[in-house]
Amino acid sequence: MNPQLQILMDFIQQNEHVAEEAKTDLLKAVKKVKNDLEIAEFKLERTEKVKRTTAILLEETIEELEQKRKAIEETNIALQQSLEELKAAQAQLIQSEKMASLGELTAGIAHEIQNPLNFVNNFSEVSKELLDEMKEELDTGHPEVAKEIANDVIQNLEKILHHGKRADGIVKGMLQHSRSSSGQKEPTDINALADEYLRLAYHGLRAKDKSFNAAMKTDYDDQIGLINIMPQDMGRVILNLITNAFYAVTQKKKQYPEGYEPVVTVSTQLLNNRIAIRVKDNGSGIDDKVLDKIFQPFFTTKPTGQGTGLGLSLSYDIVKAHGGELHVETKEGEGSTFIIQLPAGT
Amino acid sequence: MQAKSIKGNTIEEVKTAFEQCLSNGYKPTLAIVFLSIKQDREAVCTLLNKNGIAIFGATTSGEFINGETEEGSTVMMLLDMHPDHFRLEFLVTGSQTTIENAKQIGLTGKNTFSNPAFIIASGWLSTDGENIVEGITEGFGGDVTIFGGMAGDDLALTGPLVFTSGQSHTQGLLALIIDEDKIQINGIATCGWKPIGTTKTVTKSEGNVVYTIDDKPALDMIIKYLGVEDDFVSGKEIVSQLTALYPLQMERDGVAPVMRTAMFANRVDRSLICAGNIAQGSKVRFSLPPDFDAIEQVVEECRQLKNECQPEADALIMFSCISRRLSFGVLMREEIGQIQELWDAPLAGYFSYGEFGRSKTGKHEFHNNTCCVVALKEK
Repeated sequence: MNPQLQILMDFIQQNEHVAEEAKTDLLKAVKKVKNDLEIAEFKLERTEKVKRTTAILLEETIEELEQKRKAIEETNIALQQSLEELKAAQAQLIQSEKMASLGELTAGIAHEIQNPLNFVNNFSEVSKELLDEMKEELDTGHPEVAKEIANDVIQNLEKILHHGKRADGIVKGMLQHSRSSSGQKEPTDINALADEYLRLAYHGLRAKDKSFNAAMKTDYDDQIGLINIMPQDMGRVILNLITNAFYAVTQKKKQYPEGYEPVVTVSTQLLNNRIAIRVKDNGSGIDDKVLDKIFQPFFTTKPTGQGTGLGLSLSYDIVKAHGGELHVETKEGEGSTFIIQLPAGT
Repeated sequence: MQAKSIKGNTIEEVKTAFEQCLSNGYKPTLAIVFLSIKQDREAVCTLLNKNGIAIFGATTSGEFINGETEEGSTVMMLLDMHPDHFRLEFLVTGSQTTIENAKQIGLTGKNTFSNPAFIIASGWLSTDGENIVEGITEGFGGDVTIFGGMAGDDLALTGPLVFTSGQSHTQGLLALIIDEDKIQINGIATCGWKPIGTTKTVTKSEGNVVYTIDDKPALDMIIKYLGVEDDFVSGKEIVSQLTALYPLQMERDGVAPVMRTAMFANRVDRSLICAGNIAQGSKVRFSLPPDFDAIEQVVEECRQLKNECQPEADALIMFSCISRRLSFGVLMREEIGQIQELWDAPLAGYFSYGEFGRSKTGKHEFHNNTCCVVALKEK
């Protein structure tokens, strides 16, 4: 008991001048004070204890949170770096895919260039002979004949220029294919683009495999006119679909050498305010099990080393970027049709 | 039903008080006995056995009666409950596991009464608290009223025990199975400890032994986050020095957290031995002791119980965690006194090492740092 209260209690108890009843009340009051004092002292002690512990706990918690914050920051930096590396790897892979498809074109392009070059060579040779003849006519005093020959040479040179420009265009096109897209849309003749890549792909495959043969059919809608697209990118898509179609029919031909005629059809159509570009093959179709995966990056059904697995994924992204859709209709055993749909305002 | 509560610091005092109770022709059938390990338990049991009174007994870490807290004494509540309305069951963990014993108790209750309630006391079974609740529920075959406490031993932490006529054991499980069709029983379980700090993970534990928290030795985490007390590292028992006030709160999805108090520290492997299981992977937080107004909160909840379910009581039994005594100290008298005044019925209880009761989630569970109040009234 508090010593002062004890003194008080003793005084009350020992005091003879205080009535018993009053003593009882006084002692009761003192006991109540004692009780309240005990409670107050206890509360103070516990509050001090809890305050001290709470302060330590809070300090440690702050330090813990600070460490976690640092760890998160470091993780963030590492993740950023990883992201940059992944982006770089992705860009490299895309470039590889472009180069791979460019490689597919090489033989076709070589074939295409061969044709105008042949013209250039042939017309150049003929022109040389004509100029020799012209010299003779001038020497023999026949200027009128020489003039006629000169006109023939002019015509030949015009043809040389035409075919030279053709070759130039083919090379430019090839270079454009290997470069990154500028991102700028340009008015483009989609029918001509599709046709060019159809022939390039065909000749490319023929050059690689002399036994390859497939019928090509086309059906272009002249109503389409020029459409605003990124020609390198859309050309890449069309080339990819055509190459896949040729691959599909080739595979089927290997399975059924007799009685099967491979056919790839490229068509365009303007209908219901939408432009559809269809690449159809009569190959074996796409297995249901893989149908939902074919647009996924790195997915391929080709043997290892024969495909990057990026062609359809990139094609899908390019078409999407043009505000369009790329999807497939297929039937096992009968073939597939890949359909690019673009809004007519394109 | 008439209940009378008595206390004594010696067997002679207990005998005197007991005989005084019986002097008016009062014939109790059941004695709820809570006594310190220092008391002569055998003598108390002999006294009650001689009078044919069934015994529901547990040792304590402090006991209380009618609003007064005691230490090292015997408190007893005598009840003249009709013998057909209750049954005592005492089983020891040994040849059967605790959960099997608990199931058997549940089954006994089911076979004895159509609507049983279980008031239980367990010995030193701190890894089995959850099993006891689970076992009784399973044995009965559904959700059932369970209140009770784990016996104490004046913070010796060596061997609290439960006892009944002719039997006692530190590994005992004692059940007072009551017919709820005849005796109205209602209770609450309140805690009041509040979480503080960040959520941590118990990264290694086994049963009630926590080895690491966030991959750091558990004892070192306690020292770091709660500060080092004088003599802390020299003592094995830590509950009275520190952790009673700052238990771990085990978080669970969608339900209120449950407390787990560290009772011992192992200075060699730096582990904590808790008064209840903590599964590896559990999410825990430190807690701060309740504000002093938590006592008003407990009393208010009892008032609500009284107003809504149980306006009258013949007897009150209370199981209060020793941590509450260490945390609230002299204020415990206020809590107990006010609860007793609410129903104005005899009250007996003790400070325990674990409590059984229905939490706010509605589920019966094993708790730490909790106060369970049970009111009984014969219908």
